Amino acid sequence: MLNILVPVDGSENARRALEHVIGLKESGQPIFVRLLNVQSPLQSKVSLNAIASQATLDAYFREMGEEALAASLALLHRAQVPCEHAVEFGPPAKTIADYAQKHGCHRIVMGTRGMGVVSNLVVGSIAYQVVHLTQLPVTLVQ
Amino acid sequence: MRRSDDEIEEVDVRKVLIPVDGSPQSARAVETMLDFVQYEQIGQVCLLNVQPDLRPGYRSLSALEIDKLTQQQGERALYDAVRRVEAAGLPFDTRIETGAPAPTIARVAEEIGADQIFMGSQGHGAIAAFVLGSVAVKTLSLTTLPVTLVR
Repeated sequence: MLNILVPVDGSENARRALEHVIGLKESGQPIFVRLLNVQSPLQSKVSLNAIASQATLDAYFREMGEEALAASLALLHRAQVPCEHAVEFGPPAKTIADYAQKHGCHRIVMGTRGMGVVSNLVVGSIAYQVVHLTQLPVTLVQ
Repeated sequence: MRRSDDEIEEVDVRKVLIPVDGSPQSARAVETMLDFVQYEQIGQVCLLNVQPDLRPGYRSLSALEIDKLTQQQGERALYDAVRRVEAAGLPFDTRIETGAPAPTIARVAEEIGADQIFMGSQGHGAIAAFVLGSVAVKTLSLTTLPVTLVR
């Protein structure tokens, strides 16, 4: 069983990454997909705490995460790919790398920003950071 | 007409391009590709070695000697990867090209109709090794194919 982490942010490229993964099912080999959305509300929390409780904020960002995951989950269900999903809080790249390690993933497949002329793997981008934070193979889908 | 197009599509073999420089990273890129070969339904592997242009540094050598030297260096860099892919029983071919690594990788990927690229996230040349993943970064900016980066 190939255990694949697909970080999802609701973007077009993340969707293409997921489609690449769904394509692996054609091989007839068993795959298991872990969808992860990372919410990084740390900065905004500081200011928002003045007007909303922590619990309210957590619920709000969790809901944002679930929303970002919804379309991807639907795609996986339609393709009958076994999966789990999660919303985590923290800095995106580190949270993705830690999650992959913690859940024994074999590889990470993720989208990069389709910027065209500019490199899709610019220093400081989430994809770039993930590549440097994990020992796992990272497939970048553009 | 439509039907025959579809049929051609179906028998189209999935190709993977692996730039190989003889480094441990490129060896691991080969291993990772082999780990995923069934899932990715890869039917053909192209092992590519990119050599620097030797002409400016070796003015005393003839074009023929330069070619021979380049070929030798390339074969040496490819040796382990070739044996590994051969042992796995995968159809493969090798290419030795001269030029800048990233543009050459992107160009060959296009020429052979590769479906994806597996490569080390670092390595490919002494200078490039200092700049983390610079060849990988440049390659990604020059291709729209999925690129799997391996540590």
